[in-house]
Amino acid sequence: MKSPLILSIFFIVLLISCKEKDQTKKIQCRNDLAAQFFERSKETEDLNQKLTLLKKALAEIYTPQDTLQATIYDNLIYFHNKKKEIDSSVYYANLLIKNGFEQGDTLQVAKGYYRKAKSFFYQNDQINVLNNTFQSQRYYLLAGDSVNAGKRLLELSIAQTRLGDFPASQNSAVKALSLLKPSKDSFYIASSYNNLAATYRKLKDFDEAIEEYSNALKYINSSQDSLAVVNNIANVYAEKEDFKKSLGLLESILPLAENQNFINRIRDNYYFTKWLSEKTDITDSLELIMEARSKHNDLTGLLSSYDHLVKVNEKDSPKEALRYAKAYYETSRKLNSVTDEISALDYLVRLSPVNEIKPYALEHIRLNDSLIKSRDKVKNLFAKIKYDEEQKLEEIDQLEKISIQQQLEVLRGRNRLNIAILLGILLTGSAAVIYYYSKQRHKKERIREIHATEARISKKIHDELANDVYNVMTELENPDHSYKRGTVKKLESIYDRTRNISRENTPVTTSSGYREDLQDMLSQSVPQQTTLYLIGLKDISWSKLSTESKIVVHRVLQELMVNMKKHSEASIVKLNFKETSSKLTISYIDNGKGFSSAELKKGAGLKNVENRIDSIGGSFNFQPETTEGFSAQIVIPF
Amino acid sequence: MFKKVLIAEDIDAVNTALKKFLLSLGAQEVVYASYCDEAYLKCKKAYQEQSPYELVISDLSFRQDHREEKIRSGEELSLILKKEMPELKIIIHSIEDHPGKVKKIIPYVDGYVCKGRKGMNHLEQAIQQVYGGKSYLSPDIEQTLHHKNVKELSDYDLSILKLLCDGYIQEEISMKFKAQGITPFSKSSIEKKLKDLREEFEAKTNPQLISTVLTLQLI
Repeated sequence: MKSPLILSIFFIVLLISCKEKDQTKKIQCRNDLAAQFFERSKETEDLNQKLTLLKKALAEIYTPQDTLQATIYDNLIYFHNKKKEIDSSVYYANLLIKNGFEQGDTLQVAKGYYRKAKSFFYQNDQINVLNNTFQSQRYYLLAGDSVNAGKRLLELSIAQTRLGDFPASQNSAVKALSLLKPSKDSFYIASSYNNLAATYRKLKDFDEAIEEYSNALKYINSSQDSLAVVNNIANVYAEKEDFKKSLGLLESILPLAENQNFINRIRDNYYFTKWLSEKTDITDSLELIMEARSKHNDLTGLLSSYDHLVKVNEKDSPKEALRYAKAYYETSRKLNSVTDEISALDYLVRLSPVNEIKPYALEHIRLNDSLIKSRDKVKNLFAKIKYDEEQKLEEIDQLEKISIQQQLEVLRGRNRLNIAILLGILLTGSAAVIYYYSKQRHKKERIREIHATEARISKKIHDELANDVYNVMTELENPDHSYKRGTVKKLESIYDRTRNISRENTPVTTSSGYREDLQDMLSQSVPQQTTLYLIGLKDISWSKLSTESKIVVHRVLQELMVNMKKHSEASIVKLNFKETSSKLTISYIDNGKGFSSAELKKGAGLKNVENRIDSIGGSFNFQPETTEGFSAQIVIPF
Repeated sequence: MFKKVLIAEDIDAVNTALKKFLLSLGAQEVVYASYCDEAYLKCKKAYQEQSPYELVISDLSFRQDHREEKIRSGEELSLILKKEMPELKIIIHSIEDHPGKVKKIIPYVDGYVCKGRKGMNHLEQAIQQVYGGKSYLSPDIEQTLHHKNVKELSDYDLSILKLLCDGYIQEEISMKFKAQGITPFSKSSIEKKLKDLREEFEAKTNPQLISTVLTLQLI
């Protein structure tokens, strides 16, 4: 008896300890090694140390569901980018995407592609930027994050502009705008308009460009940024050869500019535009700006300075122009700006002495070709991405259609099943109702029948017995009464009739002893002085008759015998039984007095016989108004 | 005459009347029991005390009342008494005259008397018969049991009647039967049969027999 007690205590202890374990595990989730390493990586400033700690934290994560994993990946990507280790950051970006797919986290997937695009951007791999940005915006859209999708579309648009695919860029920018506009994120909206304007400008559609720049202006918050856009508008006017407007704009923004490089840019543009419009000598001013720019190491600015100086000097002092062209070429190579390189080479080919032209010309051709090629490539690439995407969407559509069809099919099947079930229920229901109804009706019929029988017996007892008993009673009450024998005789008659009623209503044997029972009844019913002839009774196959028919035959013959006994005074009675395949025929003949029709009408017995035979679909015929004997025929179907 | 008699009967009036009647017949000890169980126990006790009852007169149906009876009817009582005390004579004295029921009981009782107008008369006859070692059935019961008033004409009878109606004489019938292989076909047998039929149908002559048979459409 002790051991079960000890055992149960042991189990309780086990249960408690298990509970404790569960609780500590939850705490560990926030305080485990991974979290500790991650926290330490935040504290340290050293990039290498940060990366090693992050990798250690990553090694301590065991379940892919752990949300810390994605955060660690994100940090690793960021710091690898910082260290210009693009391969590693791309590697972790891929892991981030993979983890996102596994966890079904679409936002994480989108973020992964975005990070990957950023890494490629640092590598100046515009094609991969394009590719991954496109994927990123797609997943942001799928996840329902329209703002981030818009931002990525803008970046896509910028990448496309850089790669020279302007129509595609415009398309992306317009989409980006439609997604960004509800967000009221003015910076990105302005950038989108700006980029859109830039593409129009490149496509020489100046009016459109000016309009889009104006749109950008509406969304810009910082004055310096809006000045840059105005500067751009001024340049577009210059390109449009509407110098007056261009100059006016540049004049208006010059005093507002704060950044030196920007001031230089405005002034450079201003003087160059002035030269374009009035052909006045502004070379000195341009040279001053150039010197200021080289002092500030503003290489991009220098490019436009050199470009402008070449153009200004080209006609009057080609030597000066050539010098600037060479500087232009070198700077453009330093900045790896292909378009500037090509224009620089263009100048060099035009300005250089004949013997020096060839290498410039060859380089020009090579660069131009590669530029065109790469543009074509980009166009093809993007077309392919889009085509693949459309294909995929179509496939998805198709799959959805199929799945909808299948669902419909299933629904239809279910409907069919439901209908079948409903029909089944209806059928069984109605069958049950019909069954119940017919049973009820049958029951009612039976009750009615029982009631009729009861009424009949009651009437019989009243008519045949009660009156006579009353007569005897009054006779006995008479003080002068002395005729004892007569009274006894009357009583005997009453006694006999009582037993007759009882006999008439004893149950009929319907099973094996039916024939014997029938014979007994007949024998008993026939008075002593009368002889009953039975013909063919032995040959009848009673088993073919239904229980109801058997009872009817028994009762009907009984009734006929009672009738005979009462009225006919016959000495010979004959019952002939004949059987054919479909029916049983019983003919009755006696040599008694017969009936008058008045007697027939009066007799309830024969009416009763008829009713009984009707109830089982048989027929009863008798010859009325015969003075010699009585005959009847009973036909009962099997 | 039986000296020791037991009456099993649940109606006291009948009991008293019977007792008086039996004593008048010469019985010395008449005891009655109102229940079957009681009757059985009394018989059994007397049997064990070496002074058994000689006769039991029992009703068939006993009215059911609050008492829980093991033996519920005269039928069961007779059965068990005959089994345990075969020497004991039993006469059933009942209102029951249904042939089927009577038939079932007859094998293990010595007499069956129907209650009725002449019931006492029949009972006296029954006691005398049973005392003499015979069995007894009251006449009305005997009639129904043996179907004395019911006749079933055999195929043989019908064949003779049919041929007679068709104008055959006895000799011709005999020859016909012989040819068809119907036995008995001897002239004397046929003659005897015809005599029986005439008696049965209350006919003095063959033509009268034919007339009756035809009227009754027996053939």
